[in-house]
Amino acid sequence: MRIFRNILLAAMLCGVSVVVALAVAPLVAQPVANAPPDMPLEEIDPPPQHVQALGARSCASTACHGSVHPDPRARGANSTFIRRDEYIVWTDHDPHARSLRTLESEPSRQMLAALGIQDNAGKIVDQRGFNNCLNCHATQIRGETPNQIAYESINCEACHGPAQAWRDTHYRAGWSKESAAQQGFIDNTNLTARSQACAKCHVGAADREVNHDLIAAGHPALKFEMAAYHELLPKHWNDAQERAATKNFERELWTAGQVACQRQALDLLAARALRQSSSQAAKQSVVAPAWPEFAEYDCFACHHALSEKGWYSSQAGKLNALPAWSPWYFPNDEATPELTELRAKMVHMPRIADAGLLAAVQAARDSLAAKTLPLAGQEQALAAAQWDRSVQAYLRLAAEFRARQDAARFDKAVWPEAATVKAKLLELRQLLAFPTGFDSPAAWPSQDRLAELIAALTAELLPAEAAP
Amino acid sequence: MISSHPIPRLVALAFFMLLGGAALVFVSDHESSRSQTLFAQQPAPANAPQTWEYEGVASCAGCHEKPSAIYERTGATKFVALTESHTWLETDKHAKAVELIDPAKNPLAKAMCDKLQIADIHAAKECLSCHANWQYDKRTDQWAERPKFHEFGVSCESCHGAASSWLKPHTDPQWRKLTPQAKGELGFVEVRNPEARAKQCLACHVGDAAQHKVVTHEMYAAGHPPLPGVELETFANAMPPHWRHIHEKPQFEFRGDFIRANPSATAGRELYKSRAALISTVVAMQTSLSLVGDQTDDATRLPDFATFDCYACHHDLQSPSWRQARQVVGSPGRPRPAVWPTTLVEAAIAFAHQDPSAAATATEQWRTALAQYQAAFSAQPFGDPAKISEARKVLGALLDSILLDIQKSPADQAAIERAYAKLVAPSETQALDFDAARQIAWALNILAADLGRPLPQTLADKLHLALPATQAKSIPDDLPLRMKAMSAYDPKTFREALHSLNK
Repeated sequence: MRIFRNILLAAMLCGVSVVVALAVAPLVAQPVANAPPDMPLEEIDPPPQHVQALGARSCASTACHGSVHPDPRARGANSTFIRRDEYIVWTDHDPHARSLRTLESEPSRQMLAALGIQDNAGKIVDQRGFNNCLNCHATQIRGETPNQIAYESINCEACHGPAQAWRDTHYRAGWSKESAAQQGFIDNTNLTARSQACAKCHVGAADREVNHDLIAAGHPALKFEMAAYHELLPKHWNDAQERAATKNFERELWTAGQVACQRQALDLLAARALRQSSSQAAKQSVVAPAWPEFAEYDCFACHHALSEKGWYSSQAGKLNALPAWSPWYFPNDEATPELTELRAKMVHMPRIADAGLLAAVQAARDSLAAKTLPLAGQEQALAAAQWDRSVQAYLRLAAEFRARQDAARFDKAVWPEAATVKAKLLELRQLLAFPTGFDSPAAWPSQDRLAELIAALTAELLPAEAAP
Repeated sequence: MISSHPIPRLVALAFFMLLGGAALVFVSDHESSRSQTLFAQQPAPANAPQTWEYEGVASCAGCHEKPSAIYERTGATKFVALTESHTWLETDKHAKAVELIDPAKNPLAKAMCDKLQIADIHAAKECLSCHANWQYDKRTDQWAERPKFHEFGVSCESCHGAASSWLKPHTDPQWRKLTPQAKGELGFVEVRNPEARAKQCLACHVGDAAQHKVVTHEMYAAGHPPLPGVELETFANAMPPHWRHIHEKPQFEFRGDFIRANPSATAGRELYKSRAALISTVVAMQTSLSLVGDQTDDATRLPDFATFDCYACHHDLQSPSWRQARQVVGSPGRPRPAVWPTTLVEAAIAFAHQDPSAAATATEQWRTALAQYQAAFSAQPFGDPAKISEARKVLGALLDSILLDIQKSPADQAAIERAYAKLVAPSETQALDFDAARQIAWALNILAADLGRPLPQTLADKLHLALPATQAKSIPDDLPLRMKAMSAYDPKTFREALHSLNK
């Protein structure tokens, strides 16, 4: 997957290693070739009235969002101007603009073959399975003639909503948030909406998911954390203005991301479970129904080389014979009884996804809606030597660090400890990073140091949650 | 008169000296009626005991510890060395099987007992079923009383059968005339027959759910070393052997009768090792099939994870890696049963068939049945129970017929050549993980020795072929070396090494 890793850097389908490597460091955007998106055409009949997306080019006129250079007035925390070079930022720097290329790459071809989606002659033999890929790697747009549709990479409309109804209205005076919503425009200034838009693909949904079959075929496992990915995304908007205008932007973003991901993850689990208990759901499934779904579990519970002194078995005195339901999205599930209950059901890898399990998923989902959100996870990260929990703890600390940086920048708050905190964060990142040549924590060097760093950084950055 | 007398000669001699002629006549009349039934190879009476009692190692060691001068003179030591229990006690690791799991004597055992919450290892039936042959009877759902002298671990009767009914008769040279079936009716296990031996060894070394001889995933997670793939002839040679093959024994009394009564034990003549290795591999596949069957038959319950290939899941993630490059049957990412029991079967088929077209047909049947079996495992995570059951039936019948084919065919130089050729040229689609590679390397060593070729030792270091057998070597010390070799294993290099042997 070395080839893959390069593609990943470009494609921003970030494997966690990438997040870990770059989330703290200032972003160095990977240049992406300035290429117009590919547009494979597909004739369909009757005309595709349902396709409301017009394609990125409809945004790209020089006077609108296709200016070669950013508008100089769009700089600084107090500016309300838009950049006007959004399209160029996207095509030149944003990996989303290459999502279709990724799908057409050689590693993807091998995956499609291994999964039986494409035959050796390059013909798609499992359209439903291919749709599962397209739903995240492509945006369906109108073709050049009324009965054509086309596919473009993840474009403007994938996040901002299909533009048919609002392309010609959204720049006019009097265009309000209300009319925007009616016309299908997604207000991404709302961080919850933004997080949901991202989580739909980056966590997965019933019609778009990366299950264990895909991962085994070579797709990177999805481990999404909003604030870290957001940090890496080349901004086509006035980032400084947004940060200055939102009190505690990073913390809000992290929180919105956690909430969106948790809901999305439970919805996905419900869909996976339903496929096993309902033949109707199985029939409509875009992926081969599989249960138990291994992608729900902690990857490294199973994927560690066997040795008598391995990092996974080094948790003294504890019997670890059952894989943990992945704590990635629920690093602090102990705080919610419904989630604890669900975890207890999942840990035995139930052969049958019965009504009891579905009810437990629903109860957990309802508990999230009731806003008893189990967001903290620092103590849990300290207690369990689980990579998922530790990395989530790190990512939260990194988001807090950026929040403090913002405060120093915009509120002129004095923060003399910044350099030492950053050094500790970098050390923690280094500890959690996969060793060279591996895509898993093949070594778990020093749990003591790990716990020490998480505790110290928590005390520094999250004083209210620091362990007594 | 004494030489043909059914009771042991020494006992008879004692009676003769103590009681005089009249008493002897009485005793002999009484004994001969029983022994005639026994030695005339008639079926056992309907009320014959179905279970036999353990007599304990002490009852064997009286004779088998050290040959006495009298046994030397009677010629008994030509047939049997009478050093067996000594070899076992002093060098064979089986004699330490209970000591190894005693928390007071082994830190690994202590850690395992703590994690599994085993308070008293001497009462832990699920451990002692293999480590001391504490027997479970599936039909009655009863555990037998623990074997006498269970602290000696895997002892004489663990392999040869509980001795209550055969202890006495087996001391008579007439015993050599009996068929394995007649001996079996007394509970004696004919481990000279490679098929019977393999069943006996593999019940523990692979597992047998019917006897509660199963290493569960919990046991592994608590620290039990992973059971390696078994090439039985290699393992037996490393024990070390406390026996001699018929062709290594000098002329002994009733040799002709013995050979006539034991065709399976004496087939292959001096080439018996290759034959035994290939028979054992078919039995290993059969044993693996039934263990998997016991775990997967119930569609409502998840099979124990130990049913599957450990290394299908347990590996660090690396890319590029041979795992992603290999061809998989069906969906990627579904746990499959262990590969190694399948590895040598094609060589066994080649061994059994002189006629190339018959060999090709049998190989094709095997590949088809195996592919169906594997597809049943990739049909859904942990396999589709109905499909596995169906595929097991087909595969099981096929393995039975392969064993019959081996028994029917001559075990000669040409047969070994055919098997050898198969091993050095595995098909492109044959899965070759670390344990599979070790199977091939071990088997090649056995076959090459019988062919009088220099042993292909080039593979030995990379595959860590040396076994931690005998009491001089420690499994916990050896384990990291095996794991290291496994992590470094690359099937491409192994294929190339095989290819060089093929020239």
